[in-house]
Amino acid sequence: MMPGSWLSRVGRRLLHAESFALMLSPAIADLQFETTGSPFAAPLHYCAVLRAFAGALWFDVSGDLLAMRNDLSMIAVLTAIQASYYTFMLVLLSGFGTGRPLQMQIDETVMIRGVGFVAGIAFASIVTSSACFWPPRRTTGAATPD
Amino acid sequence: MIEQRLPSISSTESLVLDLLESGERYGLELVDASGGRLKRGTIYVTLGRMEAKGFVASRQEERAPGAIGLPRRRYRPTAYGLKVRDAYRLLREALALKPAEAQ
Repeated sequence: MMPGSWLSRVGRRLLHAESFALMLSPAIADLQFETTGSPFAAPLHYCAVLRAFAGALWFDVSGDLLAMRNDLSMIAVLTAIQASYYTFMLVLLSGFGTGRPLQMQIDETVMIRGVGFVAGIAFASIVTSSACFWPPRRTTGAATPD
Repeated sequence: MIEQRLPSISSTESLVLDLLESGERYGLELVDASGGRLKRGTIYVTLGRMEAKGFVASRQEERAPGAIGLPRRRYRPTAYGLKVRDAYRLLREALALKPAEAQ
């Protein structure tokens, strides 16, 4: 198996086709080209490919986020709807209306749990709403030699 | 009126264009020729961004039949890229002038 072929497979799945072809694929090609060099240099070459991978991923994600800016108002509305839904469910599950919360003592543990719930709700709402508008991956489906 | 955005070019991108001016090169050749100013881990991201901006063009090397591994990519500057670099160089030189020298 050629060095870096697993990175090539992962890159094809995660990156846009252009980013893969222009940023990651040449870095892997260099890695494969230099396999005849010193074995001590191999980890450094792998690090360079991983940096190229991270850079390409960042390039794609930042481009995708910019592409979503026109849909920000719709994403905000969807996030608010989802957050309301999750909050309502949690309030129901907490036994609100049964008098139970009134008997609860507000201590540090309850506060931390509350903050955790709010953060969880915000995270779940934002992620799922954004996923609806995330631009499709234009990945390379066709198999090319590794 | 439609506002046209000016192209931007970083010092790294200018350096890449300087190095490519002598002819087509691989990414690794650029890293070697830069004397440590270009890094192996970031050169292809820089080149990819430059290609998206239209500053460089690239082609995959021809492969021998039966060759394994990914094909390497060779880069060359575009006329547009060199024009932008020269324009920014002039601008930098002009802005570096002291008020007395500019008159």
